[in-house]
Parts: sequence; C-alpha cells; structure tokens
Amino acid sequence: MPDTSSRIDYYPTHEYQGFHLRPGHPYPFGATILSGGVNFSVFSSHATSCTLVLFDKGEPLPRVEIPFPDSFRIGNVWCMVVFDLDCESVEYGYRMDGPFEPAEGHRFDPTKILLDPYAKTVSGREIWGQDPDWQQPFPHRGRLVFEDFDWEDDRPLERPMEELVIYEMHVRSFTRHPSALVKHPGTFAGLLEKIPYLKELGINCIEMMPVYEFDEFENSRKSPTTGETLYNYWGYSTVGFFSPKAGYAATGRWGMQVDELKNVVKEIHKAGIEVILDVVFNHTAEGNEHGPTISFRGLDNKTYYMLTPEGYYFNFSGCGNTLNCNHPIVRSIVLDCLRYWAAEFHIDGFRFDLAAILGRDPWGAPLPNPPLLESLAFDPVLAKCKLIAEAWDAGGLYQVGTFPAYGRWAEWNGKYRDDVRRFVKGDPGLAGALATRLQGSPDLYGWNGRGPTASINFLTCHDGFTLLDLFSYNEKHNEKNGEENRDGANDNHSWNCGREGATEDPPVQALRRQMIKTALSILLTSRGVPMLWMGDEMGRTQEGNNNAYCLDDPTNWLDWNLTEQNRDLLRFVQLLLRHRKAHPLLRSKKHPCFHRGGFEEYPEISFHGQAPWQPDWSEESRRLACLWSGRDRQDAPAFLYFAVNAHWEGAWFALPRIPRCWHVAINTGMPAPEDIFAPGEEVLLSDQSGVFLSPRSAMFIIGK
Amino acid sequence: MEIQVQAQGSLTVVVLTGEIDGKTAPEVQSRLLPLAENGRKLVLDMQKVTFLSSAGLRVLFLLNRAASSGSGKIFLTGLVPELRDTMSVTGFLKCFQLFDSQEQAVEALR
Repeated sequence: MPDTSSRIDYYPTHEYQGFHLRPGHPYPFGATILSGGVNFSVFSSHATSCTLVLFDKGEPLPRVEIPFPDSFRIGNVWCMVVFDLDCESVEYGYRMDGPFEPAEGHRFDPTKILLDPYAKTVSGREIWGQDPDWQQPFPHRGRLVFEDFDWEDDRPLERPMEELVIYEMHVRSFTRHPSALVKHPGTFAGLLEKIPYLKELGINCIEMMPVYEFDEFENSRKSPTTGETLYNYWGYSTVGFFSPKAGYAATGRWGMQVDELKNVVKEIHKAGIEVILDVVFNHTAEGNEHGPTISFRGLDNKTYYMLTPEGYYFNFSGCGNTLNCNHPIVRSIVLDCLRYWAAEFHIDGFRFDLAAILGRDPWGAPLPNPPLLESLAFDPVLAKCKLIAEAWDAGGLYQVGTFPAYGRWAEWNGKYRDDVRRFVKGDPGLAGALATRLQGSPDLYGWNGRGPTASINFLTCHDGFTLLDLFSYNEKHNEKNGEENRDGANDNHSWNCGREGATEDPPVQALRRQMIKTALSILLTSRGVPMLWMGDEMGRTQEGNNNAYCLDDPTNWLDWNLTEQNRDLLRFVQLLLRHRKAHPLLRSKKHPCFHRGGFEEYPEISFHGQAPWQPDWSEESRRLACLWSGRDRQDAPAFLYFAVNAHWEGAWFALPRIPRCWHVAINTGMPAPEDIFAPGEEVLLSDQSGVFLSPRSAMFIIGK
Repeated sequence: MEIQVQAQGSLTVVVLTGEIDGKTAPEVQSRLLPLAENGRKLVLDMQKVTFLSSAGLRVLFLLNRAASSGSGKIFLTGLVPELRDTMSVTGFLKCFQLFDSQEQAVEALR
C-alpha cells in the first residue's frame, strides 16, 4: 500500500494562529478529506476576499477564522488545505467581502457567515421540528463526510423506462403515523422497514419528495384556526443541494444521514426498486431581498440568481427568487450535484420541480436549446439516469409535449391527468382524448419521436387531491393551511359523488370506491409510465386539502390502519399492477399502430363502442373500449379488451370476435373480490358475445 | 478510551471502554490494525463502549476488512442496543458476526 506520508503535500507550508496550512486544490469544490488535512475550495466571481470560518460542533462562536492568503487563490477560486482537523467535530462556513450594490446585483456582507453550497452535510436541523435557536447568526453549517460507504456490488438498477411503475412518496409522511409501527417513525430508517410492503404492492420505483437539506422552520408560523405550527413540511426550498436532510435520518443527530440514506438506497435496490429524487433547482431558501442570507446571496448573488435590471429578484418560481440555471457557473453546480447523487448515492433518476425554469435564459426568456438541459441529457455519469421534468413553472411557461428532450427527458403529463379525470367524472367530449391518453399520448410525444416513455401518466400527485378526495370533494378545503382557503388549485376536475366530504352513506362510499378503481384501471392499462401517489392504493384522505405543504399532522401522515380498513382496495391495486406486469403489450415504448401489428389481421390497437369496431367519438359519448392485440411474453397471441363506461347509466358492450375465448380480469362494477381476478385466474365469460358495464365502471377482458 | 488486549488460545480478546469517535478512533486503529492483519480471530468486547461515531464505525469496518483480507475475522460482543440500532440503520451491522457476550464468543469460537 503506498504510504501517503511520503507525498510532499502531506506536510504544511504555512501557519495561522496555530493551524497548519498549505495552498489547496481548486477541484473539487467543497470540503474534501485528504490524508492529514481537509481541502477547502470555494468560488466567487465578484468577491474581493474570503475567510474560512471554523467552529467546534455546536459552539456559538468560531474557533478560528483563517483568511485565505491571496497566493492561495487561483482564478476566482479560493482553496486551502487545513491540517489536523477532527473531521467529525468541525463545522465550517465562509465570509466573503465585496461590494454591496444591489442595483448592480451585488449583495456582499462580510458580517454574514455563509454555508458552502457544496457542503455534503449540513448541521443545524438535525432533529426534525426541534425549535431552533433563532438568535444563532450562522444556523446552517457545513460538515465533513466520509465518502467510503461499502456498496458491495450495488449500482443503479437501470430498469427500462417502459417497465417502471413509480410511487411518489414523502419520507416523513410515509412512516410518521403511529400506525406505521416502525422503530424510527418518519425517517429513512423507517422507510427501510416498509420495503416489504412496497415490494408486495408491486411498484418498482419510488420517487422521494425533496430530501436535500431544507429548513422546516422556513416561514413557520401558527395556524390561525388550529394553533398548530405550520412548517415548510414538503421541503420544496433547498438549503443544501449536496446534503441529505438530517431531520429525515434517525442518526441525523450524530451526523450519519449520509450513511443512513445510502443504506436505504442499497436495501431498496435489493428489492428491485429504483429511487428517484425530486430535485428543486428552480429557487433556493433565500427568498427575495427580504429573505435570509444563507449561502448564494452572499457568495455571488449576481451569478446565482436571475435579477431584474434594477437588481431585484425575478420570481418565476413563485418562491421569491429564481436560480440562474443557464449561467455557466450555475449549470456546473447543478451538474456536479446530480453527478454526486448518481455516483455516490446510486440514485436512479431525478424529477425536476418546475423544470421549465431550467430552460430560461438569465433574463427569463425561454431558450430553444437550453445548455443546462442539454448538458444533463448528454452527461456520461447521468447517462442511464431517468430525467423527468415537471414541464411548467410559476411564470406561465407550460411545456408539456414540447420540453426540450434530447431523446432523454420524460415529463409529468399534466394533460393525461386532466383528460382522464374529466372523462372519469363524466364530462362530455372526451372520448377522443381518452383514446389518445391510452396510447401514451401520441399527440404530445409521437410527432417528435419521443414515444410513450416520455409520458409519466398520473392521476394524482403530492400537488392536489388524493385519489379518494378526488371523488369526495367538489371544492378544496385548505383552511388548515392558514391562508383562508386561497392557496391550492381551484381547477381539480373532481366530483364528490353526491356528498361533500366523508360520509357514512353506503351507496356514496361504494361509488367512490368504484370510481377509484375505474380511474386506476385506466392508469395501469395506458401506455407510458404510470405513477401512483402514496396511499392512494389504500384510500388515503387529506380531508379535501389539495395543498398540504405545511402540515406536519395526520393530514399528510400515511395511516397504515387503512391497509386493513380498505383491504379490498389494496388487493385491487396489487393485482392491477400484476396485470400490467403480465402484459408487455401495455408497456411498449412505441405508440401503437392502427393498421397492423397485432395478431394476424388485427391491428395493434383498435377502438370500439357499444358495437364492436364502431367507437363513438361524438360530443355526448362517455363510453369507449379498446382492443390491444399482439403477442405476450410467451409469444402467444394476446388480446386485451379494455372498456370504460363513464356514463351514469349502464350499457351493453358487444365484444369484437377473436380466435380465443374472453375471460374477465377486471370489472370495477362488481364488489370485491369479484372486482378483479389474479393473472392466470381470469374467469371465462359465460356469454362471449358481450358484457354489461355498470354505470361508471371499467372492464378488462383478456382472450385466451 | 481504554483498550485491553488479552490472548485466549487462538483468539485475541479486546475489551474496549469509552467512546469511539474522531478523537479516539486513530488510537483504536493503530493498536488493533496490526492484530487484525496478522490473521487472528479478534473478539471485540463492546459492552463498555458507550458511543460509536461515524469515524468509530469506520474503524470497526476497517478492522473487519483488514482481517478478512487475510485469514482473520472480527467478532463483536455485548453491543448495547443503541449502538446496535445505529449500526443497523447505517448498514454496518450485517458486516459483523455478533455474540451477546464475550464468554459466548469464546465458547463458540474455541
């Protein structure tokens, strides 16, 4: 083994107040543990001087402040090795001096100690919800990390996009409820205990809502109605892009959140499940000119933020500021960040919050060929990662279907959500739209060659109603958020099934259950990549709240008692996912063909109405059936007939003739357990000529 | 940090007392790494270890690697529940063979 002490740079060259130093390496940025010392490297294009501030863990006052000698600066990077630090007890930050000229974009303030944007862990919020010391002038401090996790032979799973079934979830909400019965509720460790549940459910990818360090106390306040503390609960406001949220780790108080999250990823991978992170690169936790100075504002305001000609903050994010994503410097920090998560945490993909912002130039105009999106698409480390855009922003840019994709990017398909919701609730004029959505939205992804895997199909996500609430509320009920019900979307395409909110009325309950199953049947038989929202498989409610971003209470927490109370719904979803898995026809990465491609003379997809081969595309049509034909996994002929009756009256659907016998797999009009039969146990249809679909129901019938 | 080393037949039993963190880990490493590397079975009695930091976990892991790269092996005994839990959620626990007590380990490995 080479002896590192034989290297020349093992020995210091300078000394400052008893601390031994030498000139550092500009790359990599951040704090890197070397043999004998720590390399600190930080960038600013407009600062005039820089000081490294070191603390002993938790101490209010610095242990030492070491100004970078000018000879330690290379270009705009200050870099220095400090020897003999106890890597576990040191906390660090920087002071930057430079002009304070807001009209010019500069807001340097040497009285502030700044968090390193490359910090690998951040202290200050180690225990979720523990009241912070509000007088602390430097609350979010950088810490050092050992990057030697033992991954054994794990690496990102690289599942083909068309095989994915995504489960969007919030780490804390998933196991915080007492009914989760885990040792460490609301943490990564808690999630570890629920891996068997996820595997049994049948999903193969989880998408974690933000897990980068954020401050749950950002803009925290008391609810005027309930008095409870309202938090930045969801975490869409980043403090540290390179650091896992300490408060999500059972071991966060000991600074071991990196190991804990890595262990979760490794164990989830063992269950065949991928991990996608929801990343928020559109803005930071610093807000506008009235917000706190945490990091970027004090390091290089003009570089990191989109500024108006007067030096104010553009607000395309709706959160006060906008990260200047297509500035070359910001592009490289985003790239460095994602590479770090892919390489060091084995993350399988990323979902970009308000991603349309990532395609704007430094003055806010949309770019035809945004350098950041292109760099991400062609990056060698990210080459196999899933890249998913929320293809709109709060500045009015809506790019579903037109997001610059470079053959890589997928999108949350907001049109899928809206069209399917409206069809299911019985709106007229949507039969054609439903046909398009079932095919993987060729209107959006066909002309440009992107195909169905560009379409993340979803009915619900963290933004908006849960699936049960979608069929329990006509209106949002966000009073608990403390904004007099003004926040959250008003355009939900929801229907309360006759009573607003929870009810003991059995017919209403049964109808809601049926609507959920009908909607999910559409989702799981559509081409594209289906995404479920945590708890919808067990009938979770948020009591009509469609924007529960601030509530650390049972509104958000997943109540695991529902797995018992709604056992039939959970069983339905588990079997529905198995049906999707059993039929490759539903998961092709190409849009289907109308003319050929099926078994013998059958087209790959054909549409039908109550009469076979005669779909009703009229304005008043609320019924549609499609026939998928091709070959299944064993290369046997496959015929899959899927019919939806969104009308309030039942209807007879005559079945197309096939050279096989029809067997019923799903009938959402039937009560459990006749609503769904496991793959291989489908029931022979006694009358092969047709089926009766109850009001607001769907059937999935297979030929064999 | 106190480190007591005693040979028991083919085994080396090490009784550790105190906290293993960034400050004490280098000492543990310099005392025990030569033992781990010489191919002996090393029983680490952890009963009196009250805290394991990130650096502490890494020393144990390093010793394990060093031992298993030869013919040696590391066994942990008497881990208090808190440490066991920390090791479990960070993925370190399954790298080690555990015994409830030093006596059990000595009996089983004799």
